[in-house]
Amino acid sequence: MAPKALDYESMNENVKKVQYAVRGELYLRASELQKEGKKIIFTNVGNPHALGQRPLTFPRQAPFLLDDPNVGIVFPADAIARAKHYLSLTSGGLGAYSDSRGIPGVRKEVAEFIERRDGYPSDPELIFLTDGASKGVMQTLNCVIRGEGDGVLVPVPQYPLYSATISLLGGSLVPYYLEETANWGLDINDLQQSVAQARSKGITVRAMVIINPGNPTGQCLSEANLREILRFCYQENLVLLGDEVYQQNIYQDERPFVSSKKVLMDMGLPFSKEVQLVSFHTVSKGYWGECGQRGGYFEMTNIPPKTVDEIYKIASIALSPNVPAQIFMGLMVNPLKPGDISYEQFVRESKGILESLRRRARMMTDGFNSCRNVVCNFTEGAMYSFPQIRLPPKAIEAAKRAGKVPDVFYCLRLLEATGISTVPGSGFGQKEGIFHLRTTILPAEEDMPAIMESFKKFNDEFMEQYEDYRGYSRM
Amino acid sequence: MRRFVIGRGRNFLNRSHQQNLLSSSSSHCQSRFLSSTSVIDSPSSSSMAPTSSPAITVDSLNPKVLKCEYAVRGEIVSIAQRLQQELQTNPGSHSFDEILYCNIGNPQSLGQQPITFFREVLALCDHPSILDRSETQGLFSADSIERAWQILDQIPGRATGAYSHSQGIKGLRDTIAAGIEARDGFPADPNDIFLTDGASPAVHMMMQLLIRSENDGILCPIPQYPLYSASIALHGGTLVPYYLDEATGWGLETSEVKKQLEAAKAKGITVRALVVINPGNPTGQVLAEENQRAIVEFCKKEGLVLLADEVYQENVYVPEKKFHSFKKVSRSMGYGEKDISLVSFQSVSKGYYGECGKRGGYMEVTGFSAEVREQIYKVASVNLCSNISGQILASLVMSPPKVGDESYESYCAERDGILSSLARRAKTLEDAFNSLEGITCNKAEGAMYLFPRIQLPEKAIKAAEAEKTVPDAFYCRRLLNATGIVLVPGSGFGQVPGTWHFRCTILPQEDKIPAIVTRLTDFHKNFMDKFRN
Repeated sequence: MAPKALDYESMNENVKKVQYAVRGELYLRASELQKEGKKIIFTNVGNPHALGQRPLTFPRQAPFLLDDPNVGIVFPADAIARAKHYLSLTSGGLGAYSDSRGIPGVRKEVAEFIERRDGYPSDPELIFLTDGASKGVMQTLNCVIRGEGDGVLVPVPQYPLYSATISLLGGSLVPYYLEETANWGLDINDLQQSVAQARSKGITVRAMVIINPGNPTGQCLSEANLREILRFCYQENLVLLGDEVYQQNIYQDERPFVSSKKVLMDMGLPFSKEVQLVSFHTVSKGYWGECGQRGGYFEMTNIPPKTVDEIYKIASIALSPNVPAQIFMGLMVNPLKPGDISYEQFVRESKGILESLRRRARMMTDGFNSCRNVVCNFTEGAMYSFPQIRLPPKAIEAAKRAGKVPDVFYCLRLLEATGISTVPGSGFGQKEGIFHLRTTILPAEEDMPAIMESFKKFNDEFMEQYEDYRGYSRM
Repeated sequence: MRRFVIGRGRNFLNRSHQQNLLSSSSSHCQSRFLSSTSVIDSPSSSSMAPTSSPAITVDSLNPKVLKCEYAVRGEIVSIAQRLQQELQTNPGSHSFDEILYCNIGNPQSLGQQPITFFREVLALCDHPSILDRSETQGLFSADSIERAWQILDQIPGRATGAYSHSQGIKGLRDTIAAGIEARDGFPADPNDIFLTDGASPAVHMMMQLLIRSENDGILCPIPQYPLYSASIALHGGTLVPYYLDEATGWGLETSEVKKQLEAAKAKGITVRALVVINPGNPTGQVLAEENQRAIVEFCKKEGLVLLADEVYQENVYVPEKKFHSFKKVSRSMGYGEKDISLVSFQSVSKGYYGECGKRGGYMEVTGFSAEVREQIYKVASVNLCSNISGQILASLVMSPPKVGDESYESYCAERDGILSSLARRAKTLEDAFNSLEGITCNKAEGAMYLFPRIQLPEKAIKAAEAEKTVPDAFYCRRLLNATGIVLVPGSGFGQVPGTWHFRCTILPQEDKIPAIVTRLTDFHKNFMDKFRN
């Protein structure tokens, strides 16, 4: 019998090589345990609503109306007005394919948002809405990667969308290491070394990814950092992919968010006209957390018109991004203003969420730092905590015997003991011999103390089990 | 961090300058440093001028991107959008006062109304807090409220804003599986279902899995919906065409498929799958059951994955034909998981629901090993999940109101109204095309399109060549400029070489159809008068 086309052996190898730990082994095991009735705390993915964050009232009212405009009795006037506004921008309501780049009126609102944020004009024609920022990243990398000879600079640790996509597209990931002891700082020297190394292997390095604020690391880049990076891209002829989906999640005041585009424009000529930049944003993070809508956009800077045409062509094959999420995007970038009926409630809700996230970031950092053999950089932004777990040699041996990567071994034990489902650091990349885990800061504030206590109890017992100081003292 | 980077930064330019001089392998390392001094703080210095072109230009794009085409939103549509702008800024600038988009299967953009029950349920799921309000009882049907509760209970924490399971919410997959079973009479497993943002991403996923290199081929019908050709090109594979027979109502002969398979093999291509679109796009034919059985048998024998695009399953307009899913046909032949690998695609964009903008759909994947399924799951998980609204719609489409439900009668009236109207429009346009000189048009048994064949006079073909345009695009462009009607040239779908077609949807509202027919007829007469041999 002829071997079948989709037997495991005959599948596309690129698919097999792909890894995406956020929903990998730990998550699957957690789901199994959940089915068995165990209470699981899912801190593996940045999915706020799943952990009880309530959706903001206003945006949920407006799109709702778009589905059934007969319910004027139940809604405030500004929600109704906004619904009518967005309906008028569509070409046939929520159920019609829009322009493949997204509804022009919404893209205009996104451009206006970018202009208000950065102080520089933004062209709606260079803004494409997508089903989540992830799709935009995949589309962009698809254009950049021609084959395995093409390399993309990716921070380590990184959000594994990048490694997975590069793998799927058959390209080469060129890692640059963030320095944990310098608060996950970026060393331009290391960057240059990574590039040189890649080139010596015959790889053409074409693009650089920065995630700002970082995922999983949370660090916020300063303006000076960004300038160095942009300068570097200019000199090395790289297109910069600026993943800025966490731009609204900032938990310290020393380094507020500043966009790569703004810094680039501030640098003036020749950079502002030469450096190619693609910036990504989403409705899934911030204080919105509307992950399930699948809404995002990317903005292109200094990308030639013919290239933009090709990107449009690819977008058109998928017909259009989903319309409800496009409207969410409009609502997100075009928020309520003082005087609007729903304004106070909106401010209350959004501030409440951000302030709580800031407190939770602090609680988790401090909680981890109080544990034996755990050090944790402060979560300056984004939604995660990425503590380093200093596993004793005996633990590493035990992991090997169990056939598991050491941090996977630790995280599985953590899960079985406490129900806390995390993602092992190996899913994000880390320096050889150094282990981490990623957890979100999203569990409800009132649950935090208990969760951190539970973690500490597990960790300290684990460390005691595997450190075995008594063994040393006998010597 | 700031100090750290700036301190290092000063060394950077010196070092990189040295390294540029030292490294010889990369062509990108043509030195930018025309002067030997490195200065951080004078950005306007000409010593920093790049001597090589920017990273991303059309010439340096992924060639697979450059290679793929998608005519449904191609050149003609760009021209149409320009004309539409002109009409807005300068009314009266053309001999028509509106653009009629007959190029794309996008029903609600042309006035088709959504199904009330579906929108009620979606609205309630989007804003569940109103389920507690008394006014809601008065505004919504009881069964839509009940269904919304049911769905919300299937979503952890009732959080419709949260990422779901990467295959889609389990409860919704259960509903869809039950719907498939009710439709086919054979069981379906919710774990075989992958909910996606429309059917198109699911097709892409399968192409990604199947295509390892350009030596892998996928059999596609010609004419085909250009998602397939585009997707195959994007993933670096080879499209192996098999021709549908226009003379026999776009019939699919397995002998033709076999012939093409052998020819591809002889060229060293490993053919991995067979795409069948049923009902057909752009051709509109509904396969007869014996035909389907022959196809299943063929795929089983040749070890091909059967990719069954069944998004138009609810669009059948002729009494003598019925939709049968390939799953049902295979199972009724006694073929199970071990016998045939089958992927069936469904969407919320077509049928009588036409919810294109929501991006909802799924693929049912049967006959694959657990390891392959794991890989499919893994790829799905990189994009986290499809949008929740689309997922809910997919479950509603596969389990609409039943006899006895409060909304049942109004739902049926809406559904039947739309479907019977589509059938009427299909017939009216088919007759209209057939009445035109040099045009023959097969019946649209299903789907949403007519695909008439046009015998272009030699003079027209020469004129097209002079304008460096494909003849059917030449015709469509002239038609657009004269009437505002947007069609898609047949060359966007593939056709037997030397024949010309265009695709026209049957979607403009019924009251617009007479005007379309008149404008088309007048244009065509003028065109033939001008170009007749």
